[in-house]
Amino acid sequence: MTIQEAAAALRARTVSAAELADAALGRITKLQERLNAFITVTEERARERARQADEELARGVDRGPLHGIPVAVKDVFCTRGIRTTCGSKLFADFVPDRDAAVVEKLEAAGAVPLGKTNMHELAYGITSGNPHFGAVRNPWDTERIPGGSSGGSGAAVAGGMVFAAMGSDTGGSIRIPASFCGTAGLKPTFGRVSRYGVMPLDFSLDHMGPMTRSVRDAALVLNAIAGYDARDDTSSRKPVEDYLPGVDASIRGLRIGLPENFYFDRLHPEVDRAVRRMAELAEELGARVVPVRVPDMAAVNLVGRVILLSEASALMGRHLDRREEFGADVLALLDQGRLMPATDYINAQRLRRMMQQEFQCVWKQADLLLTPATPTTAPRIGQTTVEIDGEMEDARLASTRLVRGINVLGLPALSMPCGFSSEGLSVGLQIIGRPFEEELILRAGAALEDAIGVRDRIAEL
Amino acid sequence: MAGPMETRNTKRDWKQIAHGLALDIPESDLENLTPALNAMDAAFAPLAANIPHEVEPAITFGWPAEEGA
Repeated sequence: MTIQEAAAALRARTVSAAELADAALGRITKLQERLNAFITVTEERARERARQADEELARGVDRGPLHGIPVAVKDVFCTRGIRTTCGSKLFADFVPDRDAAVVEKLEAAGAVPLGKTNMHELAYGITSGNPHFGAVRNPWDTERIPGGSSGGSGAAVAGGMVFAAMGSDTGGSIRIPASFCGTAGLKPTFGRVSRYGVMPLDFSLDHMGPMTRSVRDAALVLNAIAGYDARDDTSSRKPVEDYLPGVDASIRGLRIGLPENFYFDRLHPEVDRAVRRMAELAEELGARVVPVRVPDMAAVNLVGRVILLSEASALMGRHLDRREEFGADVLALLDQGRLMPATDYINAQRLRRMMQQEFQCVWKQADLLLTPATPTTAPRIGQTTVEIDGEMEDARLASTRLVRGINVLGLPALSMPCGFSSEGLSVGLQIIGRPFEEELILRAGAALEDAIGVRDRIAEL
Repeated sequence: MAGPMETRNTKRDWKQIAHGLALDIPESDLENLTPALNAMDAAFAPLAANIPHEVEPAITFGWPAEEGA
């Protein structure tokens, strides 16, 4: 069941918010030991909110499509009075005195938060193999990673525990778990969703967005959380739109760019086939698929890594006298960042400006780009390298290869499932658009989703 | 205006950098980091060497009185 379907059922009184919350909490109880998707479950609070949601609907107070819908937020979002760990031992007892802007907006929209999802430590990694709160497992194969850093959010959605979960994305941390878990995952344009009250990994690459069971559900959540927030210096004043694609979402006449370089290099053959099939499908639906050449995305990724290493270490440096409280992988990245010369950081930000300008040539050729989200399906837990085309590649660098550059450019991008591999693992399609063109991305995603019928797929567990 | 290319023929000595910055990174950890740092430095240096002078960083600073105006 999607949010749209649940919302219709709530209004038809065939189900209550209390029943939805009860079912979701039951699913969490059943699966927490196997998937470890949550760090904190707020059962009592959730039941109270669900009761209020029912009472409001009975009085005719309708807060919109998220009213009464069970959701979760990654444990980077501050929640007043509820522990917010950032997946770190450093913050194991941190109880914020305020809510993140996104949490405020979800609650104002009537959503029923069930708890805080597990994640890669400090949102700094892609496995969600958290050394302090345990590894999150992929619902499609519990021996595999869910991706990260928003791995608990991906597992909670794909495991059927919640209808939507919020993630954060600094170098792919929404789109990688969306790809590996078979959910929709939207990284909006930088500045579209407030970062206020989110424990930062980075100053200029962090983005907040939803993970859901369908593309339209991602649009519904974006409708609730997008908009200007004076408390976030980078928040955009550009007016928000209605992002929900219609039932007849069409891509007829759109120019869909299929990159000739970079994005289809070194892919697992099943990923390559599934994504190219989506391009064919787009053409069948009336879009014009055009080959495009993108700027040097390997260089964009490199610039992103220099920026992230520097900014993350600037943020976390004051805690590094407590080395034993970090996982080995995160500590290594923080140490690398401390060794980055300031000149490299400044030059990376200068290169970033050049690259943002250079990338604009892409939009003269196409309205959207269609690419894979990740070059492989989900690796096994503990797997540090992946084999692609007979060559070994670091699993972290491979998983971020097709998504990290989009954070550097600040562009909106959606990952959505476009099929399953012969091993039953999801394959993620990435749709990238111009700044603030989330509506177009979501419309294209919905049209493709309607055509392939892969939505609301919950892992049998 | 294109700037003069800064070239560097030697690898950075990460141990000396860590020492100079008084970073408490154990030697064994530093040794483990060195290949990744060298690879990144080797790839990044040519990019940085070719930035035109007039290019300013993507992040800029604003005067508080003008922010939100």
